[in-house]
Amino acid sequence: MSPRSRGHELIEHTADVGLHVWAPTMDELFEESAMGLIAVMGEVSGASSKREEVSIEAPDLQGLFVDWLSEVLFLFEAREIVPRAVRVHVEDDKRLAATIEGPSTEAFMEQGPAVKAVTYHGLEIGPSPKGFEARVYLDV
Amino acid sequence: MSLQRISDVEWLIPAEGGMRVPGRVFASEDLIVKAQSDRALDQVANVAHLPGIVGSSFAMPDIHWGYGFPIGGVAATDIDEDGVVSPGGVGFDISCGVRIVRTNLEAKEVREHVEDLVRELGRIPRGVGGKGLMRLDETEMERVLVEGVQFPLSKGVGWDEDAETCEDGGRVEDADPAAVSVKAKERGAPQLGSMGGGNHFVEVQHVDQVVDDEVAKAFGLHDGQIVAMIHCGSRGVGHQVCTDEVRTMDRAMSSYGISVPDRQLACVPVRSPEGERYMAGMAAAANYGRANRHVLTDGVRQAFERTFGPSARDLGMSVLYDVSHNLAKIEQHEVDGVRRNLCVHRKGATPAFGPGHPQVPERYRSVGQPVLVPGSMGTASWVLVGTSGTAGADEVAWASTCHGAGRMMSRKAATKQMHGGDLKRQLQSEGIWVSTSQLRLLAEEAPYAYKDVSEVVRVCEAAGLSRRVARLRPLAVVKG
Repeated sequence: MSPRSRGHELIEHTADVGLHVWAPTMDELFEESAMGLIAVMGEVSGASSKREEVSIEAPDLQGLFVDWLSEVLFLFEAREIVPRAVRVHVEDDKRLAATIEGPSTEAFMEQGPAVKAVTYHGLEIGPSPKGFEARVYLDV
Repeated sequence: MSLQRISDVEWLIPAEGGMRVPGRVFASEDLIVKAQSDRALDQVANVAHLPGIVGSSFAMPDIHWGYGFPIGGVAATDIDEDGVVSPGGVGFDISCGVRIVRTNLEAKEVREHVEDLVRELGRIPRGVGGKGLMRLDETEMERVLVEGVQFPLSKGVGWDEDAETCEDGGRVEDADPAAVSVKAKERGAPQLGSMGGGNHFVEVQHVDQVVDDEVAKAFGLHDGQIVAMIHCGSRGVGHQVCTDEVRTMDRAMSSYGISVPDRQLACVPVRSPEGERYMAGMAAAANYGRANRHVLTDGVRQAFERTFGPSARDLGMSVLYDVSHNLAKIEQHEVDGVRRNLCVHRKGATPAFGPGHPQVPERYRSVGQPVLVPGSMGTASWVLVGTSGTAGADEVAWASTCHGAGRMMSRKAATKQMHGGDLKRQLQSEGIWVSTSQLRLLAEEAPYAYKDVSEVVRVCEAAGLSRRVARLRPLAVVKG
């Protein structure tokens, strides 16, 4: 895997689903994580028709990461937007500003379990040889 | 962490390090080996760190690895001694639980029409983002959070007597919609009367073994009878309330001088502004959970009416009981001979009060609280009865018992073992019809991914947690 690549994969856990994400920068790690979270549940095709802006503050990086993914999940379920083009800017590991664009969930193709929430359980996030990496468990 | 055997069905984790009390795990040799295969027992020890915890950090025989608390964990804190409440001790699916609806149909009558019945039940909303049978506006949403099953009843959905045989009469006191965020309300408003996904389901089952004739009679159950079981929770409302309050407590904890070994165990004293807000928001989400199962009951009754002709009343479709297995409650229990006000967390554990207890509905008070234990599809479910406080039976684990079979295999491992289509065919050859929104996911919830529920309920009985009443076998499974 090239050092500039980004991606995500599932981690096994008895009752739940874990997500392992990597990216060259912290901003991209947050972006890729949002895509990974939705990919756990399924995918959608079609043009972007929705847009949301998000800003979050948290006491530390772990808190910021959990709050970010919780917000993405909320927007997916309540505002029915499937993140496709995600831009995140993380500041001081404690603040972020993001824009999310994507199609509506109307034509969402379920391919996995419905995610209920994002947990702190076994949460890891930080620099790594790949740039930045995170491991997070999702309640499904 | 060390583990000591106390009896055939009980194990002790002695208090060490920051543990304020020991851990006590109810399990047979076979079940303890399974519990040791992941880190569930470490979680029992972590829960023992909670400020104000009394007695022990308990684990039911269906224990498995969760986040923060183990699934199958029971912990009580003394609220008059700065005891805490931890949203992780309730879980994201607040008031997830089980309801059983009786019928006067027999297994052989249903088998002849099972395909039609499964198709009709398949109309009940389920899966990712599933919209419910009732869509609520803002005012109606607030009412559900306060009134529980009384809201759909006021709209003519369900039968008045349904509430009488629900835990708390289908309505939890002290719920405050102002303690529920706008986001949580927004998630929940379109979802009332939907199953969601994961291990949630509606099953058509028949009573295939009656173990206790007298109690079965009191519960209105007999051999060969058809019942419907509904397993689900409070949907997006509960998920968001838990997310919001874990965040709040994570940030407030240090101001109370509290630190915990796992961030998911974030907690604050019950008697604190943050603690009181959580209790009021959790109660509101619990009301939504009960209302949700109530509205789904209406969907189930309609499916039976469309399949069998007569009205649901003529089909005898009364509610046996509705009980949740993810909740924290303020209850009075004896600690070292003194009655105390405790906040009892049950995360994947069912309350199991014995005869005479005021929490048992009047109709069943002489025999004890019904305990509804869902199996996984293809395996049995059980109806148990609470025994605590009966002659010669001391209260164990704050009158709690198991909640299900308990997973022992990850979802991915389960899907590797068998394809969904093959599993569906295999179950069909055993007389179990399955409807699923996603065939590919079916194997995630395969019977082999779970512990043997019969062993779980046997151990509960041997440990004095509950007694077996009747075993139920599925004829039809509609997966969330």
